Amino acid sequence: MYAMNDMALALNTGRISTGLEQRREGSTLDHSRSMDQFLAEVEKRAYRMAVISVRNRDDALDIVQDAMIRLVRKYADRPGAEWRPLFYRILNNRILDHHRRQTIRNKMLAWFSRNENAEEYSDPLENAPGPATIEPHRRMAIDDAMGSLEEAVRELSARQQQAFLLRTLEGLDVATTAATMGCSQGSVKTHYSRAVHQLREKLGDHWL
Amino acid sequence: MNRQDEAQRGKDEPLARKAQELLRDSAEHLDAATRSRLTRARHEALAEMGQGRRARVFSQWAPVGMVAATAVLAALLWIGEPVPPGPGPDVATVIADRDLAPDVATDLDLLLAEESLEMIEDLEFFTWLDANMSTEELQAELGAIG
Repeated sequence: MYAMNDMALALNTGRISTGLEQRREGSTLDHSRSMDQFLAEVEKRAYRMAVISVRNRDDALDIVQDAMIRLVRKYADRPGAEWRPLFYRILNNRILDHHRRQTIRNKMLAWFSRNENAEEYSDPLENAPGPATIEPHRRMAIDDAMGSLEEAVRELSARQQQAFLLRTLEGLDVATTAATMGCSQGSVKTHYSRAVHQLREKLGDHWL
Repeated sequence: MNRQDEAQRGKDEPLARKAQELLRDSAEHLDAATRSRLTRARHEALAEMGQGRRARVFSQWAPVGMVAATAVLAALLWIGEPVPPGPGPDVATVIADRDLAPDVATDLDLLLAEESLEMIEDLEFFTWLDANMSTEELQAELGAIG
């Protein structure tokens, strides 16, 4: 009788543990899928943000990839709602690191007088535009306006750039932007307001 | 919020709206190569997800494993090597039993004996003795010493 009970218990325990394992595997898959969806959703905007700041496509791609890897390695277990501020915080830190390294590199190059203006190789295929959905003349106007905006944004200070791009391109609210930038909401408002004011001065009313 | 803030916001809004449109449009119209590289970057990052999990599991259990290994090692050192119940056969007997040359067995036995350590210290002297004196001369010399 006891043996029968033990067998039944063992079978039940086995079933429960298999069920738990399956649920755990399922939750891991769900988690992985959620992370995939999140990264797919932010990757293009993150790249645009990085390329505006660092002015180099390859460096921008490396920075975005590094931010993705760091997010997955360190914060994949955090709730999905926290991923966005964490990801952009990592991205902004990578961008600042890049600027610091560039500054040091430029100083070294100036020191050794080897600052050659090497032309960056540009692959025409890589520069081919994405799927065309609008007329060429309209596209050209948009590209021109975008070019002017990019130039003006690059002239902003790092904090103003962050505040402006996080609020405008990523659409984060003031509180999330503050959490991402690691400052108060008041500072975000100040940085953003100064950024817009400076952009309006640079771009002029005809740009609008 | 005062009137000045509202006026400022009214001025800022058209620029912010147009900037948002342009920036989002440029993000959506990336070239094929960049889109492909971003997808690859994402897949590489996601591949870390499984590895990270495995590494975390390892890091959780590693201290337990180390403590267990240390405990086993400490137990082994504490207990020490078990002593055999009685004196075993000497090396010479074992080698002689295996039909090896008796001289080799004797030499090995001598080498392994405790007394041989003293002999090793005077090895040069014994080598000289062996080379320069015959057995008879040596016996005569020893007889003279007493």
